[in-house]
Amino acid sequence: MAQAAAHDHHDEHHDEHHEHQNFFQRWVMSTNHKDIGTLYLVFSLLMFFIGGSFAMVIRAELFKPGMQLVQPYFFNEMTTMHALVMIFGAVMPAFVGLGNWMIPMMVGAPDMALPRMNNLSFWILPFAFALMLSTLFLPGGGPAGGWTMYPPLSLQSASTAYVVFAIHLMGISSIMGAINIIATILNMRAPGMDLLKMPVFVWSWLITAFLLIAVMPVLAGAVTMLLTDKYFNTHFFDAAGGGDPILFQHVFWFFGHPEVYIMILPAFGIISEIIPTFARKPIFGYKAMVFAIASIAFLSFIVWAHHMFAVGLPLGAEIFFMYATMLIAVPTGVKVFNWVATMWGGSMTFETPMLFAISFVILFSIGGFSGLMLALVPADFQYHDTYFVVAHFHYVLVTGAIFAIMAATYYWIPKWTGHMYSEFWGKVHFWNSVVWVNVLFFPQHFLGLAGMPRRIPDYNVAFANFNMISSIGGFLFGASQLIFLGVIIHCVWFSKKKATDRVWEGARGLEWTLSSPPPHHSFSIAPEIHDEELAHGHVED
Amino acid sequence: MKLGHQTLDAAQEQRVRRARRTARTVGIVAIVVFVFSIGQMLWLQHHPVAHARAVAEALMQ
Repeated sequence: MAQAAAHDHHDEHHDEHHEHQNFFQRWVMSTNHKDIGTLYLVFSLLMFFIGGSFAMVIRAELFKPGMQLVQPYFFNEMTTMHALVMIFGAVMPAFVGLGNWMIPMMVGAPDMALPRMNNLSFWILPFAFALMLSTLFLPGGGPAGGWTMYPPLSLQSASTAYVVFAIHLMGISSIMGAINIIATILNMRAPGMDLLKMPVFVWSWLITAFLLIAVMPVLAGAVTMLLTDKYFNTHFFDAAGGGDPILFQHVFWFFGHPEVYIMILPAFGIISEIIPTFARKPIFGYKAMVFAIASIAFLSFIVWAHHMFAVGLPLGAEIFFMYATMLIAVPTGVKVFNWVATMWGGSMTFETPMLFAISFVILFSIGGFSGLMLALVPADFQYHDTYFVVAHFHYVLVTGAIFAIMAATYYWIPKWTGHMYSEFWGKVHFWNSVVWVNVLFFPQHFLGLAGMPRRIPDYNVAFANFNMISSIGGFLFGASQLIFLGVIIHCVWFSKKKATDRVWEGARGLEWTLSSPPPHHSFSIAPEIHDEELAHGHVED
Repeated sequence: MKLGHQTLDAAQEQRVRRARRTARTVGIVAIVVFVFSIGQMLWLQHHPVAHARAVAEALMQ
């Protein structure tokens, strides 16, 4: 603590510099990891509401059988855009924002290793999304072939070039962000912050960054080939010209499956920070947690074809990909059991971040189990392209990734702002979210098992009741997120309750030794780290 | 040496220099992966027999 106080004093003159900055200099020209982290998080929240509004259109149309509100092409645009915006605009930037804010403070670094590139990584994103969303207003309409962009369907859209360029920009942004995170974690740790003493969140981001480096260029390559097929007379995926559309699926899912883990590994890191804090115990099996994340990342490269069982793969390949996919349950199980073991016998309290973390463990496990069902080749032939798949990945991504982002926001916002959020409204937000998200997505399992296909605006009357329940859940879950917005606005601008430096009684780690809010520049001189200050300072061999 | 607007001490400077070298290496890896992902598809385009055989074997099962 004394060490942190000394740093605060040292950093005071740096803070004078930022007080002289005007709005443009501070936010547009920013090279500070905390400000850029804030920009990412605000952008992500905006995209979350834009993507959410597309979801509301989808659920409104599906409220009753028959065509109600929108044209089929517009419905397809909504499903496509909803996915693209939520994946690349909401979930990924939110994790990058959290990483930007927390990683340097957690490892004792003064900032990200490449601050100007950090600024560029962020500022590319608004242009990429402006470009992509603008296609909705173009005469030919936006992309409507699904976020997977399978040719030849995706090539029929008039906006292919816009979307491909937007994806290139997002990819460049992600790759630059990943380079920055790898360079920061590997080189800028304070003395004493050994790799196996780093917080699990930092580990999860290091592994995620390597995944990004390995797969984002593959996506860029895939969409580049789509572009050349459409405009430059190549035939990579054109069967008439000797190409093969199935090859696109292989290349896409070689990116796409690790992408799923890019969206969940940082969530694992967040949950591994929150549960020990509110259980007031160190995480159970720290090394096992780290190796489990690494194992999941490795396995993510050898399971891509489980998205393609129905295309007619060789039987040997189907069996290989089925077993490889089922293998992922092992390290995932290690993580779930270790979270439970951390809570076991702990002195637990149930503040909002902990409530979200516990619901993550339970509901993500449901998504994991339905994933295991989808891994079975014979079963997948029935489930493929049905609402069962939609239910599965929304349990993983909404009650998984997004619940973890919300948990992280409640957990760290007192540190970021220096103010406590309203615990009452946080809990109101949690209980509304957790109830309505299940009303929204659980019935979709039954719809899928009964054979309702995904990505259709109309359906058989037999599916009417579950769709109506799902839509009601969707509207109320969407409305619940306005509470989240209200809690954040209140905390940032109106909360009178000051946060302490440590904020939570059970919090351990370097970031909690800084003031709340932390100085604009922290750790200009590397801190001296003592094991007892670290969350994982005494790791058993 | 400055990191953004922040003046660093000598030890931190050393770390930043090392980090920039790491960043360059990782950036080169990303470019290689991008080129390879298109390159392997180009190879398949120019070896249609190998590709046709692979597709035929897949469909026979």
